[in-house]
Amino acid sequence: MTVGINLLEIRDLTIDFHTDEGLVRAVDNLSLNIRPAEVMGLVGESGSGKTSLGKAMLGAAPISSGGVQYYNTEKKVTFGVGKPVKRKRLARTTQLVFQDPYSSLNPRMTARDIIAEPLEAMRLTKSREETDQKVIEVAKRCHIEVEHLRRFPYAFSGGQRQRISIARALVCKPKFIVADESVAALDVSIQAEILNLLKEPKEEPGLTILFISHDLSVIANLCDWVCVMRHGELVEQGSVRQIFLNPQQAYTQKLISSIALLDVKKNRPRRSPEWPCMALYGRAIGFCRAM
Amino acid sequence: MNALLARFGRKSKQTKNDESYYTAGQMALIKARFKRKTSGVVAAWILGTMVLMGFFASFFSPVDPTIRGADAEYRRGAPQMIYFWDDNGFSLRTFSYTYKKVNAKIDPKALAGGGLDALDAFIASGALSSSSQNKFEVDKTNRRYVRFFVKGWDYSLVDLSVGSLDLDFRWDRHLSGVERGQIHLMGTDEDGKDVFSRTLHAVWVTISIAIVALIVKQFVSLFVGGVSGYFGGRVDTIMMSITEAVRVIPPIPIYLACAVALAHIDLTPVQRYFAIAVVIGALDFATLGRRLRTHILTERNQDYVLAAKLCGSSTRRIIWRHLIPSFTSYIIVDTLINFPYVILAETSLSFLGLGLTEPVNSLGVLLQKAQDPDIQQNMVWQFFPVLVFVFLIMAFVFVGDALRDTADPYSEKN
Repeated sequence: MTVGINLLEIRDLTIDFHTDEGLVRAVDNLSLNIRPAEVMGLVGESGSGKTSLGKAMLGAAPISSGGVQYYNTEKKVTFGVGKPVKRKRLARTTQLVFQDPYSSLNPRMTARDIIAEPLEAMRLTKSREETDQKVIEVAKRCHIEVEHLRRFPYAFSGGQRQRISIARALVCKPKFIVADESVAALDVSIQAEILNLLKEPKEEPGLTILFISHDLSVIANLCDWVCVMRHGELVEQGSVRQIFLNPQQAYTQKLISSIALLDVKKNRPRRSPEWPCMALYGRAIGFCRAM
Repeated sequence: MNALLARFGRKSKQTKNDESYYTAGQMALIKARFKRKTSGVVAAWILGTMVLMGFFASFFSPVDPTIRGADAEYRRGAPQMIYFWDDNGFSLRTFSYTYKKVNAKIDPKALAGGGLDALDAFIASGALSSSSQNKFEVDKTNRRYVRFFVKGWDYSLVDLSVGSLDLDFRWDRHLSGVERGQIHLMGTDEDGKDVFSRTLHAVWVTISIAIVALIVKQFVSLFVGGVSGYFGGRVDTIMMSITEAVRVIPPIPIYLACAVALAHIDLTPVQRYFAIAVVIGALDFATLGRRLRTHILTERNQDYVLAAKLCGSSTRRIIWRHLIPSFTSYIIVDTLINFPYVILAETSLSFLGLGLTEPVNSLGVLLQKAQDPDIQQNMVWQFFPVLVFVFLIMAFVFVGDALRDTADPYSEKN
C-alpha cells in the first residue's frame, strides 16, 4: 500500500490528438494533485481539455508525456508514457459516470446486469447471491426500486438511467469517481435530484469525486475545491469561496461575471411556480452568493 | 359467452403499465411485436407447416417418390380426385375411383389397305396426338376408399446416426393411402412417379441445402466481419480488399468449375450438391461480412462499450457480453431474408443443369422439368411444384419482412 497525502498526482501531463488538421494539444503539461475525500470541480469553456483530463485519469486518453500516479490504493497504480494502464487495478479504484445516460447503458442488459458489471468483470464477488446483495444495496442507496432491477434501460427515464449509471460506478466501492458532465444532459429538476445523489457519497469517508462541468452553479453547489482550465492549461485553483468570491486571474473573473449576467437574464421572467427550473436556478445562484 | 371468448379469443394486448413489458427480454419482445404483424404470423404458420411436411415427407406422402414407387399402370396420369359422394351415393369415407389406361387402337390391316381415307380417320381419332398417352378410363363403380395410417414402404423417419451409433428411426406407416394401388393427388409424371410425393420430398432437400449454404455463409461472414471490424486499421483494409475481390468474381463460372471438379469424386448427386452449396456459402460472405464489419465498427465506439472497458471488462467479455448480443437479431433476420435467394440459387443451378439433375427430388429439378413443352401442353399438373415453390418463397419473404421490423425491440422509443 502506497501512502501519500494526495489520492492522485498528475505530473506534466500532455495529451495530443492526431487529427487531419494536424496535432491538437488537448492538455498541455499540466500538473495537479487531488486530495482524498474531497469533491473537486473542474470548470472551463468547451474545448479547454476538461474531458481529456478526466479521461486521462481513467487511463482512457492517449498520453504523450507525463503520467498519473494513484496513492492509498491496495496495489500500486501508475501509468503514463511507456507505462500502459493496468485496467483491472485501475477499475477497482476509479470509476466514471458518463455524460449521456442514453448511450452509456447497454440496451440489451437489465439494470441489474448493468450495475453488476464491474463486480462480474473483475470477479469481486464469490457467488451470484453476493453480487445480487451488493447490487440491491447500492440500488437502494441510489433510490432505484429493487423491482425495477429486472427492467431494461429503455424502460427508464433519463434521470433514472443516470442513477443506474451512478449505481454502477459506486458498486465496487471505488476511491475515486469522475463525473463527466453527469447532469448536463438532464433537465433542471432532475439535475437537482442527481446532484443530491452525488452529494450523498460525500458523507461517506474516503470517496473522492472529480466533477467536470461547465455549469458554475452546479460546481458551486457541490464542490469543495475548484480548478479552472483554459486551452489545456490550469488557470487557477482554490476553494469554492476563493474562486467565486475572490478570483485572482482575469479569465476566472470573466467566467464568474458571466454567471452574474446569466443571473440577471434568468431572473427576468420570474414566474417561479410555473417555472420550477427557473426557481432552481435562482436558488443555485443564491447559494453562490450566500457563500 | 364472454368467458368463452376470454378463454379462446385473442389474448389482450400487453399494456405499458404491465410490469412484464419492462422486464421482457429481447426474444420476448420480438415475439410480442411479431404477433402484432398478421401477415408475418400467417406466413410463419404456412412456412412452419411446409417445413414440417417437408421434414417428415415420407410420412405425409402417400407414394414412394423414387422409381421404386413409380406406378407403371398410371404413367402421365392426371390428378386423381377424391370424393365424398357421387351418383352411387354418399360415403363418410372419402374415396377415389379405379383408373384404367386407354390404349389407342391401331388397326394396321385397315391402315395398310384402306388408303388415304383410313389414314385420315386414324389421325382424326387422336391416336397420334401427344395427349393420347394420358387417356384413362374411370371406373366409377369400383371405388377405392382412402385410409389413414396405412402400411407402406419402409422409410427412415429421423436419422440421428453418428458414426457407429445407430439411431436411425424407421417406420412404415404413412398418413394416408388408398386401398388397392396408389392415389396420385397431383397426378404422375412420365415415369409414373407421384408428383405430390416428389414435391414434398423436394421441399426438404431444397431447404436443407439452403440451411447448409447459409450456415457456412454465416460462419465465414462472422469471421471476416468480426475480425476486420474489431481490429480495424490495416487488418481491416486487407480483409476488405479480399472481400471486394471475391465479390467481383461472377458466380456461374465458379459453380461450373465446382461441378467439373466434383465430377471426378465419387459422390451421390445430393452429396455433390451439398458440396456445391458449401462453396456457394463460402463465397457469398461479401455482403453480410461487410455489414457486420460496419456494425461492429459503429458499435465498438459506443459509450457503453467504453463503460464496460472502464469497468474492467476483458476484451473477450466485451465481445461476448456486449458486442455479439447487439447483432444476433440482425443475423437471424438476415438469414431468414436470404433463404429465398439461396433456394433460388439452387433452382437456377438445377435449371442450368449444373446442380441436381433428374432422379433427385429437389424443387430446382422439378421446376426445370416444368419447362418441357410436353408438360406445358399435356401435363399441367406438373406445375404443382411451381405453386409450392412460390408459396415457400413468399412465406419466407413475409416472415423475414415481419422479423426485420420487429427484430430490434430496443429501437422503440418510450
